[in-house]
Amino acid sequence: MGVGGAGTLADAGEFVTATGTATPAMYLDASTGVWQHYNVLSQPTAVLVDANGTVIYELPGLFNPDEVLARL
Amino acid sequence: MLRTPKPPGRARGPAVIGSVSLALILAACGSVNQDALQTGDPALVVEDESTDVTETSVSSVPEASEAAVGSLVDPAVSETPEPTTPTTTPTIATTPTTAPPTTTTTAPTTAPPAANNFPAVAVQRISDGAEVDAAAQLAGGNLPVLLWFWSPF
Repeated sequence: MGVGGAGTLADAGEFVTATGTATPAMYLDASTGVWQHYNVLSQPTAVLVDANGTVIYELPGLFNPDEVLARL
Repeated sequence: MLRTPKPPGRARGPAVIGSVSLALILAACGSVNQDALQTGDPALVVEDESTDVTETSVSSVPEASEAAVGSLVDPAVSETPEPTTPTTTPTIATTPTTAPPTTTTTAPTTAPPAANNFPAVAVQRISDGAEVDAAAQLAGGNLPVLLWFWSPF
């Protein structure tokens, strides 16, 4: 799940089209409520949570998806 | 018919018979105070009777005393130790008469609902612009979720 934290819905759409990141599902968090909930201060940041939403692993900055999956 | 004269001794027959009768009566009475018989004093007669009774009671005292002394000095009784009977120690009941109440713990049939730590924040789906709840979109699965925080600028 992608959580965009700035701009408008139009800006988010352009970003998704330009980067070809339609998958996973992309959402715009205009209020930055989700960002604040997980205490994310910069982008990009990857946060791995369990099925209940509890943080398992947080990796700020550029990340390798394989490195995140290795934490599972 | 000729009468023979009675012998002179027989003329005193009744007096002799009376003396003999008195002697027999006195002998039958046993211990009669001779002084009382001679003087005729009844008080002396009573005193003699009480003396006789006293002598009887006194004569029985030594028998009782001998029996009492015999019991005290009997070595068989005083020196032989009495057989000791085993003393029974009171037993203390260790098992309660009534069983304590048992508490049965039943395992919960259903697990408590898992805590939902997803944020209940309204977000917009970029593909169609629909506003959805983030927690509703993320909860309900069985697998971990990767959140990618990005910004177009």
